Amino acid sequence: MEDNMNDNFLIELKRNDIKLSENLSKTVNNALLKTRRKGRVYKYIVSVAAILIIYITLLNTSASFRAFAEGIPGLKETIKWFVLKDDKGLESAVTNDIYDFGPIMIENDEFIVMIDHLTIDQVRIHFSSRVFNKNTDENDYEAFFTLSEYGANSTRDRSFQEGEYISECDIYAKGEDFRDMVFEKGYMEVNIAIKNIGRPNMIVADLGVRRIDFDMNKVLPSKEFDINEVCETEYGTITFNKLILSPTKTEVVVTFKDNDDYFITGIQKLGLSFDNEEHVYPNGSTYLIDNGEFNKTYHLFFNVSKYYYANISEVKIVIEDLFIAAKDGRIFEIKTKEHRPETITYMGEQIIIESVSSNSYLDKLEINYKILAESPLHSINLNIIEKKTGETLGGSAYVSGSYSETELYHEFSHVLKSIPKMDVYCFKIEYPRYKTDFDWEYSFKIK
Amino acid sequence: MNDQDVRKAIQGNKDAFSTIINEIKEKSYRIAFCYLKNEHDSLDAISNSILFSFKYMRKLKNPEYFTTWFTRILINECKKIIKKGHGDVDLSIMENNLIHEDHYSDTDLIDKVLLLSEHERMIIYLKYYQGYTLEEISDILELPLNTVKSKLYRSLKQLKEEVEKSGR
Repeated sequence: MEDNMNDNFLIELKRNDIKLSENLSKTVNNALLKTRRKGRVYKYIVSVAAILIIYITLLNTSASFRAFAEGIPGLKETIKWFVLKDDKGLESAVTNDIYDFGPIMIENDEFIVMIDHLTIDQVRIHFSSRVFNKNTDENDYEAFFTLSEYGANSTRDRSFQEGEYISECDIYAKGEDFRDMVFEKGYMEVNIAIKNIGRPNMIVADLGVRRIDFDMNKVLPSKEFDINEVCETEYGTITFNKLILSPTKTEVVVTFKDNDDYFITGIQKLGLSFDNEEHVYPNGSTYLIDNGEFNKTYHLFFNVSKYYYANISEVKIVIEDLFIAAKDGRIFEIKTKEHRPETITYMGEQIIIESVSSNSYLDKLEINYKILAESPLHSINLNIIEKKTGETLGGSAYVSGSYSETELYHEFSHVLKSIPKMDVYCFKIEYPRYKTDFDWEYSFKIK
Repeated sequence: MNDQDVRKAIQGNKDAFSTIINEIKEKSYRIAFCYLKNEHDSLDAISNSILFSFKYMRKLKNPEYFTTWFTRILINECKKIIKKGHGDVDLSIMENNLIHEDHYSDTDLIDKVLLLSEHERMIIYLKYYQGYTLEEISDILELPLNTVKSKLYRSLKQLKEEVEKSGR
């Protein structure tokens, strides 16, 4: 392609470069120095783990030891393990002295898993974990926790701090089951698996199901407020049922009911604010809802909490723009070698498949296509299908797509793995969504 | 780069590791700067990448791919820094504010390259300043090959038009 470009232009392009930092050599040398130190530290990791366990146990059981430890530089960091990030809810709970059920040590012949800063409320369990190998100086391990019994969502985050991996695990409720679990049982059963960080698909040790007990009197109950406000749209209704304040999160229970022709597939922004403060949004700036059948209740969680505030005068919920899709005609079958352009009518608009190409390299199949559409389309799934049987061989949501507002075209590119080689690829694209302008706001008072 | 040094580094030889890192430190800094557009974060990305790559050196199967492998680690560190620092903020708005004249040799084409969007400037930079192939760039940036090609073509065209507009 550069053949078309002026040679002088390319020479000019390559001639000047980014100026180097004066601190580069110093930074590199410092990092290299750390790698040399690390080897020595790792040899003693098991004894460090043992000391740490005693130390943390003392921290929890002895107020005077805690006070002593806080005065020692370096040790203070061990006490504050929380990686709070933008989690205002957890931050608020920690500031207000939410009970810490940690530290807990779980082990087998080879590994020690340290669970610390374990906080529990009725919608969420949060803790940090570290893994120590008893037999080697390697610390490339991470613990995976599963609480599938309670139908919870979970997120994990890993940070590499001074040569060690610390994982943050956050498990939060999908619905009522979780709430019942916390209050009725007074313990949780967790399946723990150890994986090597460099090979996340392989379990190196299964510690099985372990029971963690906690004192129910120390779990603070959530506060529930009824809303029952209905937002009518031409695509369906959205009903806000409840607002639930828990120490670490705020939850809004909302029901979506579609009409005969459309799905409401998502909300651009569903904001919540207390006393005219800045809006907060559910985890992720855009809240997307499942494809398909639509008369469902969702529990939306916000990483903010006003649980400890005695006086909240007003709560506001806002909706900015909806994503919608039609129920009919949303799946198109396309072949790579067919004559183009090809026109499809969807939701009253003409969509023109202008070009389609496939490209096989390494173990990947890349499908590229260009679509002309008057309005931007969002979220397209692509599935490669077997021509005769219609069986799905593999698929992906779009990896990268762009929309030109002036020329009204999209370019989509999907990369798929493990698809058998074929002369002609037959695939279907489905679920294009449109964004519609929609603004709605509702304020209410809670007592 | 001497494959022998990379092999020794894979086996845990720290002197060999230092040698190969010193060989690529300048190009790595420039790649990080191209991505992050500020000195402090770029140095952090380099430092984290050195620690990370040292830890996983043993997992590198082919010594000849060391530079590409390290660059992929570096780009991931850059992404982490952006994610940590800016969250959901519109990066395209911030980009203009982060550019400081003193980091460029002069007001040549490189500052126009740095004004391109994240992927476009990385593709141009990796291709023309660092000499990576399009397949390698696709691998490093985790983008489809065709996307790399079309973005490269588009940004080259855009750059050329801007140069012609400014009468260079």
